[in-house]
Amino acid sequence: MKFKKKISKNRFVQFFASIKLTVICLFLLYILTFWGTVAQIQYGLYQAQNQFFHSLFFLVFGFIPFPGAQLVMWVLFVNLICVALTRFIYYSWRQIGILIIHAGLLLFLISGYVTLHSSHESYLNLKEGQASNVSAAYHDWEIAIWESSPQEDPLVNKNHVTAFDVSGLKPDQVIPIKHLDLQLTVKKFYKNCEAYTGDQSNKILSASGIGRLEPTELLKEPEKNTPGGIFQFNINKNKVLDVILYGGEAKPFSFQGEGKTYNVILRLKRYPLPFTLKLVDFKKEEHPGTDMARTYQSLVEILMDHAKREKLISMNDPLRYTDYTFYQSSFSIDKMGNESSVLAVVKNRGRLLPYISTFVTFLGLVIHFVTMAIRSRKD
Amino acid sequence: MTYYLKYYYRLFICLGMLNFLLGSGNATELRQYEEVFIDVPQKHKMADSDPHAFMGKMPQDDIHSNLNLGDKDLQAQLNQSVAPGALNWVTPNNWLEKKETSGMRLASFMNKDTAYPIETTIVSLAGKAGGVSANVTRWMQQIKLAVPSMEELENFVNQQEKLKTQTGADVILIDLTKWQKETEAQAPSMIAAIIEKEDSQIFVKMTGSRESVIKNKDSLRSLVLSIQEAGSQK
Repeated sequence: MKFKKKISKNRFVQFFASIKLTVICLFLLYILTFWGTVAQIQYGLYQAQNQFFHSLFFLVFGFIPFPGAQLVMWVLFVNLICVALTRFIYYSWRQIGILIIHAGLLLFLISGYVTLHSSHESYLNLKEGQASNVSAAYHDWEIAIWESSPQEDPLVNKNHVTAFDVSGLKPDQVIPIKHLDLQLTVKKFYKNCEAYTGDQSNKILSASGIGRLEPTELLKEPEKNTPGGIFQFNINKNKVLDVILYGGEAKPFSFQGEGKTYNVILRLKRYPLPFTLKLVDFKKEEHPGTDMARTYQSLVEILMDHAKREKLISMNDPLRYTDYTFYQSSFSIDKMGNESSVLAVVKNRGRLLPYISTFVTFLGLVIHFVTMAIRSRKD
Repeated sequence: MTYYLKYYYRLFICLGMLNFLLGSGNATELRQYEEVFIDVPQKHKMADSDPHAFMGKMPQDDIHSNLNLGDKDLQAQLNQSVAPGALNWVTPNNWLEKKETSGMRLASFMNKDTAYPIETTIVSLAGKAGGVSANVTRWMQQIKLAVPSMEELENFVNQQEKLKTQTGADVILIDLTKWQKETEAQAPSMIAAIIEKEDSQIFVKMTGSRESVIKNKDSLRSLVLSIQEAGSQK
């Protein structure tokens, strides 16, 4: 009781325990859900999600700040805790059901936060027989650098890669890579551009013969944007090279320095996997009499610490391993007739939290209803 | 109600600004990881006429058993020589080549003279890809030209310029500007070339206004004649 009295007097707690605040938060979530859903038509799914649901606030008409869903849910989270502290502080058996419901709702908000900040989606495209221990992002890019090293088997490439995201790069930004004796300076960077061949008199090097980059408008589908830029590499403060890197290049740019061969490429961001995944066989069944795929599945081999196991991934049977889930996403067949399987890779540390939250909330509801039923019978 | 709305609205904005200030900062974080990729020897569907088609039937004797796919240089040579769709060309001096990242286009070009803008694309398709008349009909529809009768169309196709590339492949140059009046200088138009190869067709299509494509016709012709398969000799 003393604790309740003490905490109820706290002005911060008093403000955040307001039921009016709960109503306003729920109303704002309703507005944001409707607005964000409609805005997808104009801005595309990705941009609408970032603006309305992932942001803390955004500007309407360019100057009016409006709270984003993340901010609203933070306030709702604090509101729920303060309500639990001030209104249900008796901890009597009569209110246990409501307390558990509130705990479930808090868990929902926590799971949303964990999913937002620690989960990511990527894909893995493998031909039959190929294996890889990294997956690629759908539309986040990185600059990856590695030193060439002798490979025992020409078909097995093992590289120690140093990479950094390009999303926040700005002109004149200097990025030191001390363990490689390199320093990279961003001279120009475009989030979407087109590459042209042309005269090489500007002495800017390129792996693909690109002479210049032309910036273009950012498209609302982020996977259609191809970034590029001009970067200056300073090797151990001696050699200086200006290099064009473009997201559409298949090969890295290689250069020598201090007796080493460096390779650098601008590519879709790579996420390391906890094991190496090999595509053993890909099977596709078509609807009779058509070319349309009915079902397809991938037999994969998981290679980990000298141990192997096989798993069949099909459209309704993904591969699950700790925080990772591998879904059969799509497939492709190239001009040579080689079949590739595309697996969607989802890493989500909080993947069990929604289930736990649902169970806790359900349990709270059941307890509350049973408690109310018993009380009404007694009355 | 208005009082509460204003109060809570200010609170939201303050919390948001606070988090924005605390969260700002642009340190580029370096990540390090081990990347492993295991490739497989390339599988090819070779035409019987391909000199390498016999490889699958090679006797495993002392002479031929050394030609294994573990030899990186040999593998690279084989890949280059039998890869369909690997083409080389010479970009005309007054054009710029734009690097293509995906899709069916092998390359696209634009001219440096922005007063007469054009776009040219190179696409390679396996098989006969519909035939010349069918493609001409489709292209005419793309630039909003009335499609003539089959007889007129066949006469038109027969009158088009016939060429040969450096490697002896047959080329037909389809000039659709002939269907337009001289007064329609700014009307969308097209000149395209179809290169017939044994098991594929290469389409080189130039689009722009009528006066622009006419001005760039010689450049298109030089590009088309320079197209050859990678590794082939002149």
